[in-house]
Amino acid sequence: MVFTSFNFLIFFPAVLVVYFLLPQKFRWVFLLVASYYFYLNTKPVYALLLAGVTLTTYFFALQIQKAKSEKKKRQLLIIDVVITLLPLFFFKYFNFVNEGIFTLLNYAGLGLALPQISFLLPVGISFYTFMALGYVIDVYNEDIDAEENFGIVALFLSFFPVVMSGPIERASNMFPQFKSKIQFNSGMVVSGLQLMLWGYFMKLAVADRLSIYIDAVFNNVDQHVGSSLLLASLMQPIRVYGDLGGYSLIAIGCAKVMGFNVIPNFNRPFFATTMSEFWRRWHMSLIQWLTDYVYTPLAFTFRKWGVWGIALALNLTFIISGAWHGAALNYLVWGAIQGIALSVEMLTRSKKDAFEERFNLKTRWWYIMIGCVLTYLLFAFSLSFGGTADTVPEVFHIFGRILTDSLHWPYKDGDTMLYGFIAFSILFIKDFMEEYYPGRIRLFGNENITVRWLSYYCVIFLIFYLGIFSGENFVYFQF
Amino acid sequence: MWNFIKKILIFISPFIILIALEVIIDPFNYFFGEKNPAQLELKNSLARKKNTYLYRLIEYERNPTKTIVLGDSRAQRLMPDFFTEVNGEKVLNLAAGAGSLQDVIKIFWDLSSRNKLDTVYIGIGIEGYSGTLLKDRVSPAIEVKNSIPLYLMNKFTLESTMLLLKARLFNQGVEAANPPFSREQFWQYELREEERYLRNYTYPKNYYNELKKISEYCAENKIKLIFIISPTHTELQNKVNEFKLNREYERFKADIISFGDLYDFNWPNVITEKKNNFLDPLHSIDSVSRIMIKEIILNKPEYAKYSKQSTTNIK
Repeated sequence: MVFTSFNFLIFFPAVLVVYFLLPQKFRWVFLLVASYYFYLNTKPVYALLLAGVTLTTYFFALQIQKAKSEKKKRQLLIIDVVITLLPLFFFKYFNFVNEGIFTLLNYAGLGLALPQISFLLPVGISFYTFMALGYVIDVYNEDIDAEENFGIVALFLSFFPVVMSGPIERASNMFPQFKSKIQFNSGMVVSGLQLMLWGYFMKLAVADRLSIYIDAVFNNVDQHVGSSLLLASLMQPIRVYGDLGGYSLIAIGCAKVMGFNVIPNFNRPFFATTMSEFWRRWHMSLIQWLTDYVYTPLAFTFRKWGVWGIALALNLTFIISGAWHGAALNYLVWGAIQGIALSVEMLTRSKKDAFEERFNLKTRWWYIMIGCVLTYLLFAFSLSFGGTADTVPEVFHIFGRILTDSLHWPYKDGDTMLYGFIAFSILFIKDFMEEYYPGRIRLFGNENITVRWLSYYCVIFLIFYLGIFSGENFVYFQF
Repeated sequence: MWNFIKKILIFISPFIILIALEVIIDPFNYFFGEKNPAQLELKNSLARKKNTYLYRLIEYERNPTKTIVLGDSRAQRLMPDFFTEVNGEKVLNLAAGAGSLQDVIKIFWDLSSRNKLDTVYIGIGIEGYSGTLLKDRVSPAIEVKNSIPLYLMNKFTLESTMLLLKARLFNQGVEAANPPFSREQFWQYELREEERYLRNYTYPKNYYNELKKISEYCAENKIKLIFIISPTHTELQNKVNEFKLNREYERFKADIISFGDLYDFNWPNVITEKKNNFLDPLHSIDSVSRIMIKEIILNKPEYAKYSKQSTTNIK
């Protein structure tokens, strides 16, 4: 079941009614059942996988807590990490590794073909695997106590608002909420519905509208001139922001309506002036996870090499992030680009800061704007490796076309371009106002009920008018 | 909590009223077939113009025919009545203004998966047989047609409902709107549009493969697949030469002949040389459409160059 399906529009209100009518002590049980029902609607058999990961996580977290020696704890952690990662590796990387081995054997003159396995990647596996690992590592680090109630762990990993595409939640945030007594709070409900409404706008009116143009171009690269490829490449970050940002807002909103606070995932990323700032605003739950469980331990390990150690840790972290996004060389290149950009920024930061201070640049609007544009362009460029094309040669083929065949009018799809532009402009203006003039114009948050309701009606109208309702899936379901 | 529920109900009440109006007016005849001829004409002129594909696909669902016409605005001019005049056959024309080959392909597969077709006429031109013309307006229309919630919650139903409601409330009939251009201005505009299409022309490997699949399917299922190149004024025909696309044009025709029989009306002759035979350089007048249909149905080409499907051409 996806948030944009009509099934969900029936499922969610029904869950809400039952949830708030039930006595407090049964609510988590009901949420667990509802979450599994939600997940079962994708491909039922994969719910077994989710249950398996849950069982492993529950068992090892308790065992790690009970273990007396550090050595034993460590052994248990390693076993848990291996077992938890196994399904992810199998489903995501089997064919990639298989092809790699085949290529190597081919070079060695042994043209042995290993069996290819064709299957769909279980939806949300990358997300709940990371949540499960995060919880067990937190128990290992004694940041959190192991949960004795199996149902709470199961609910944490299957919680329907976040199970498909995050935000990648933390046990320390969710366990206490699942166990607390949540009263109906109309303020929370309204605020959750507001987030959901805006999330739907971002997904249906921005992301899905732009997807029409982007897919038309990238699904037929050879039919299009370079300028169309360039335009589609430049639209790609907005599409992903609309898609995952929209999904995240719907997820956070859903949870909020039920009284749960889920961590934010995006914070107006296109107003970042550097890549390091960008990554503090984009897919924040993933980056925070990687920072806590990958980057920090790596940086600690490489600390003897000073800044170069940090640079190495950054690069490795983002290459792992690339591998998490997809099992192909282009994703690793995508990760490497981020790592290199962040390393360069880190190594030149003091000089850049001095330069900016000397000419008082940090408050100049044009300087901020140049920073935003350059950051956007760099991200758009890197995104060509992060999902636009399937292989590195294909990405270079696209770049080649852009560089040599751009002196033509790009492919024109009037409605899509116009509606996409209007939708994006609305999103941009909202983000711009919140970034630079917070609280200046309040629509959803206005105290006057007429303004508030009119703004809701306007957004609903815009969704109907500009949105695409053809059941487009969310981009991050493939991860 | 009850106070909150009351507020929610007040908030959603306009939507409930809207949905009720959409069901009652039913602009695309989704729920009920329209029996009142005046209302049907009004819907045809208001709702169909908003979304021709949705209107026609629902019409087809209600009254499926074994013969269909697909294509762009030129094929749209092959009125079903003209077919009936010649051989009494019921035909549904699912062509639409600015229809792309993508649309044609999508409709074909949708209809053929649900009904047995006898004859499929596809109106085609070199402008449409281009790799970059990928607009797909049929998939969303099919989705809407297959889902009541989508039908009730899309802008075409909403807009058409409002227009029909206004027409009913103010007792408005179907009025011919004044064109925004003079005939000459529109003529020049269409020529410029043609130039724009030809300037961006690329050979459509994608469409070649898709049409080949359709051709094979038709052969297997004994469906007559007939392509029609509608006549355009010679001024427009000359653009192909102007843009040095003669070889591409020949290849286009060769491809089409490999998919099915072809009636090509688009060559310099008595019809295409006279401006009076055209509304604009792209669209011929009704009497020309009648001639075309007669020639095709009776297979007596006079103004058409007929080519039988060539099996040797399939690559």
